Amino acid sequence: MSRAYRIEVSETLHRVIKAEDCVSTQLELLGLLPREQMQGLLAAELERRGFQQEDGVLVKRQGTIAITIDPVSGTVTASNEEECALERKRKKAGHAYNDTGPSRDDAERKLRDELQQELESEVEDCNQKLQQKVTETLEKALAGAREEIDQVVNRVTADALKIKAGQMGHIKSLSEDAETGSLTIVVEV
Amino acid sequence: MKVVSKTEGRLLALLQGIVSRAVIGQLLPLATAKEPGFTGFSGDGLALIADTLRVGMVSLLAREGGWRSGRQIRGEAVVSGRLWQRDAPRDLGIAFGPQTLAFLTWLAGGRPNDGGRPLQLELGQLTIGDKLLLFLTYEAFRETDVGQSLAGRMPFYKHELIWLFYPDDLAPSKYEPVLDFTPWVTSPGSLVIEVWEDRLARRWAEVEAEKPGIRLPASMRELCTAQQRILSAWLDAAEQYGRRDLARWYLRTLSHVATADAKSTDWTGNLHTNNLRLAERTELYQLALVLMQHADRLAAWEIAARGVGYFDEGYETSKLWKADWSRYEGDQLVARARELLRAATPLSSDTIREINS
Repeated sequence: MSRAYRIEVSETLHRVIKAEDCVSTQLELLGLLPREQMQGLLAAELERRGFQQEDGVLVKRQGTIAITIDPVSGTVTASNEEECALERKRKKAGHAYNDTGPSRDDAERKLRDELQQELESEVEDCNQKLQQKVTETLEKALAGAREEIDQVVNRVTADALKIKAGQMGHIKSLSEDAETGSLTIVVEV
Repeated sequence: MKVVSKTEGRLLALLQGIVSRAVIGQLLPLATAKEPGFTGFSGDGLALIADTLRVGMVSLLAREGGWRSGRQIRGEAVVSGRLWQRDAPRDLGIAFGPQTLAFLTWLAGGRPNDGGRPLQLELGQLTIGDKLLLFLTYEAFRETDVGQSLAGRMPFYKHELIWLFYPDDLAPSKYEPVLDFTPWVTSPGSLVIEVWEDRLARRWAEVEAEKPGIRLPASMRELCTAQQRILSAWLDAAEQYGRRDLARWYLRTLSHVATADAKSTDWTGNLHTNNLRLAERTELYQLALVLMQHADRLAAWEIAARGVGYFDEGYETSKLWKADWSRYEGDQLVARARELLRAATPLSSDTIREINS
C-alpha cells in the first residue's frame, strides 16, 4: 500500500527593486541675444532658484523628484526614482510517495519551483506597485515643475529684453508688473 | 465570337468586377466558387483578359481622378491638364506580365480564403500592372475573410501600395516591411499616385479618424510605427526622384486633420494608459501624432524652394511646391503640427505657446 509522505521546502528572497520614470521637453527661449548669452542667463537664473551644477547640467531635487535642465540643449527632464529592499521567507508543504529516492527529490524540486514562482510573482506585484507609486508621484510634481519652468522662461526673457534694449539705446524707463509678468521698457534710440 | 470555358467565364466576370469596382456581393461568389481542374487559359480567354485589363484599367484610372486637371512634375518642368493630356500616349502604358496570369490561374482554383492554398508569384518579376491588379483585388475583398486571407500571403503583405493605402490593415501583422516606393514615384507607377492623390489623402484622414477609438497602447504603437515607416520611405522616395508633387496628398491630409481647433488628446483620449510609465505614455502620445512629426520636413522643402532663383535649375518645380504650400497654408499647418506635438508632452510650457502664438 503506498503512503504519502509530507515534505516541506523553504526559500528566502532578498531583492532590491527599483522603479523610475521621467518626462522631457525642450525649453525654447527666444533668440533675443546670442545663444551663449541666453544660455548664460538661463544658467544664472536656475542657480538663483536653487539648481545645482552637476556634470554640465543644472539639477534641483525635491525628495526623490529631480528636475534637470541642460542650458546648452535646453532639454528639461523631470524624473523620479525609488528603490525598495524586499525580504521574503516562505515555506511550502506538499507530498511525496516515497520517503527517499528520486521520486521524493522530484517532488521536492517541483515544490521548490512552485515556491520560487510564487515568490517571483510577489516580487512582480511589489515592482508594479512601486512603479505605480513612482509614476503617480512624478505626475503630481509636474504641475509645480511646469510652473517653475514658466517662471524661469519669463525671467530669462525679461532679462534678455533689458540687455537688448540697453544695446539699442538709452533706457529711459523700465517698469515690471510682478503680478502679471508684463514688462514695459522705454528706449531712447 | 470568342468561346471560353466556364472557369474562364467566371474569372473574366471576376476581373471585370474588380476593375469596375463591383459590389462585394457580386464578387464573392465569383471568387470563392470551387472549380478544381483548371488547366490553363485558351487563346480566346487570354484575348478577353487582355481586353478587360486594357479597357478596364484605363476606365478606372480616368474615372477615379484621371479626368481632373492637375499640375505635376515631369523632370525639370511642370505639366498640366488631365492624365492623358500631361504625357504622350507612349508614356501612359501600364504593362501586365505573366504574374497576372499566374495570379488569375490561382484564383481559378477558387477558395482564395483557404489559407492552405499557396500562391506562388515571382516577386522580382511583378510589373506595375501586376501590382496594380493585386492591389485592386485586395481592395475589393479587404473587408471579407478573403481579404484577410490575402493580407496574410505573399506578395500582399509586402505590397507597397497596400501599405500606403491601408497601414491599419497590415500593421497588426507585425511584419516589418522594407518599403521601397521607387516604383510608385517613377513612371508609370507615379501616374497611379497622381490619379489617386485625393483618395490617398482621404484614406490617411480616415486612419487618423480611427485613432480616437483605439484603446490598447499596443494597437496604437503598431499602427503608428507602420505609418512612421511609410511616411519616411515615401518622403525619401519623393525627394530622391524630384517628385515633391507626389507628397501633396500628405499636405492635404495635414490640412484636414491639423485644424485650428484640434487638440492632441483628440488622438489619444481613449487610450488605456494607466499602467504605463509617464515616459511610455509620452512616447506613445508623440507616436500617435506621427502625421505631425513629418511636417517639419515639408517646411524644409518650402525653405529650399524659396531659395531657388529664377535662373536656377528646378525653378518651375519649386514654384509648384510653393503654390501648393500656399494653397494649403503650409506655414500655419506646420505651426499647428508643432503645437500639437508640444502639447502632447506633459512638461510643455504654457508660456512658450503664448510667446509663439
